[in-house]
Amino acid sequence: MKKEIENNFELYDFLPIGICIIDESYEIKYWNKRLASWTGLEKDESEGKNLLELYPNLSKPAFKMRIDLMFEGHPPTYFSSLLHKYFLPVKVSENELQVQSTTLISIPKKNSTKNLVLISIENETNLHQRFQKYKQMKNKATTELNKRVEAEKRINEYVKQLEETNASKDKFFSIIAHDLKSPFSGFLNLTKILSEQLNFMTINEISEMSSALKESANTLFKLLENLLEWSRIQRGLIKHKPEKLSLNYIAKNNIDIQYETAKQKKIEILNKINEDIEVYADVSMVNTILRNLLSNAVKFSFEDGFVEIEAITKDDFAVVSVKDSGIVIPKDKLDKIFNIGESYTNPGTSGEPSTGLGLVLCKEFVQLNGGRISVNSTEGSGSIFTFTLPLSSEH
Amino acid sequence: MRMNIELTEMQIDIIKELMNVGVNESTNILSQILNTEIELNIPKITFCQSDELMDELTLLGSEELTAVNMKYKGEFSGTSQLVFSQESANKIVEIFSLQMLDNDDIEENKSGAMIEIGNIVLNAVLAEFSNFFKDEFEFYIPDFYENYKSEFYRSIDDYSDNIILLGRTIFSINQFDITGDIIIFMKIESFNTFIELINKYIKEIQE
Repeated sequence: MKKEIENNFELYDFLPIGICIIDESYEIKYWNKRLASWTGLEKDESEGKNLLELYPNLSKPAFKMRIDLMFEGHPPTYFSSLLHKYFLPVKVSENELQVQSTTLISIPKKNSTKNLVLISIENETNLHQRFQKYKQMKNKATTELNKRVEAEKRINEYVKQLEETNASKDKFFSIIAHDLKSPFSGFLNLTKILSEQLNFMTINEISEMSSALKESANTLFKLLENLLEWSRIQRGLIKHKPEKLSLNYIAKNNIDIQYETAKQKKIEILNKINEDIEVYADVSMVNTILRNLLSNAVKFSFEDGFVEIEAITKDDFAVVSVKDSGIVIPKDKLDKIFNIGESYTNPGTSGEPSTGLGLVLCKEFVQLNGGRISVNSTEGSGSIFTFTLPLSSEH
Repeated sequence: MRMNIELTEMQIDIIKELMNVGVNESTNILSQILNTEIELNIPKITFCQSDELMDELTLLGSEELTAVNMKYKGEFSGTSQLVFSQESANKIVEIFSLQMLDNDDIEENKSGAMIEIGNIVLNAVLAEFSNFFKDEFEFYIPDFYENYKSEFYRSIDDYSDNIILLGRTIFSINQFDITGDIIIFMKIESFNTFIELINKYIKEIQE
């Protein structure tokens, strides 16, 4: 029997795959040279021996159940390297075994109801190693690529920051050059007239001129105040010190500041904020926000108009809105109104000067307190500036 | 060549039963590999022709399909296939590997693992047919198609005179239900032989 098989299968000795033939008792009938070189078991050491005794791993049901079926003439059976790693444990190094895929084929045996089983083993170790190497290379390349994308993203952020800094600088110079210089020139002219013509002026003329001087000085002071605060933000000098604040109380104080100006334009300011609403924010920043928004609302409202300030609470935030009855902000300017360098400037309804710096400050301070600011402006209804402030230290 | 495939309820029941017995045989082996209970069920079988096959396969719900292909030869001859959507094939490979695999590992091992799973299921179904018809089938080693749809469209003419038996198969593994199709292609002569053998069996049990 053994001779007959050798004669039939001796060509298998020259194949690059491991071939073994067993009978129904698992006796090895044929063992090709490739298997001998892989396992170190020569033909005469393996043929005639029991395969299960040499390789006990094959007694596991996942193998044996399927091998047993092959003696009954079952269709070809395949064992993949993923599900089994190997069929015969063959060392390729101290800690590594061959990765194998194996096919079993049932071969009818003369004068027997039971078939022989041909076991064909392919060594996939090199393929597996090459794939793992390729995978490592791919992972390395992906990591490198991600790093470069990340670096590019950071560079773009720096460029954007630089552009913003540059715009801030331009705005600063523009304010110094124009917005501060013009009212100062007016102020200087008034003082010049006053000092040179005082002896020729009536009491009424002197009184009118000193009122004009006071208004001019107020405007300049407000501008200087905003300019200094903004410059302190830019230099990182402003520290955020949040505390519990009564919104109604702060609104009331800021309404008082605007009272005289509003009275002159016959504008009514209504404080509709519930006395119970408390926010967790920096008091001087909230003052600056409300001072600027109320000042703008009065500045851009028409005579006999009104300004309303109200607040609701929603999702752990107070939503504060300042509504005026004034001129409409063009739609294309709405999203630029809070940005330095792009901010929209327009004189008030009585020709009051405006730099747009106040809204830039408002945005900076709202954000420093963890809130958001937005504006809505429609024809006939005026503008509504809405900002949020956290109700507690959780945010 | 179009053919009117009309089978009686009895004929359909017997073929469905044959396929279910076959897939149940394969669950023992699959459960041993997975070391957990696995159930296979074929709730519905359909006969169609090659131009209708893709409509049936679109029910697997995927742009691209994978297939394990195994030829057989006997009293009736043809090709058997186990077809899955790409996503289901990836899921099955991951479940059977008993480990978390990334996409690269799945790609490396998909062909081998799917051939083995397809081989186990198709062997069991065809062995059941072979026993039932008391016929010694000759089987070929299985192979694997990654882009089965395109492969099938390219060779659709070769199957124009084939009748296709399609059994929608549900693999229930742990909490997952994965659907695939067992497809058996038969030439018209083979199909006629197949139906004759079924009729012969019906006659035997009715006598």
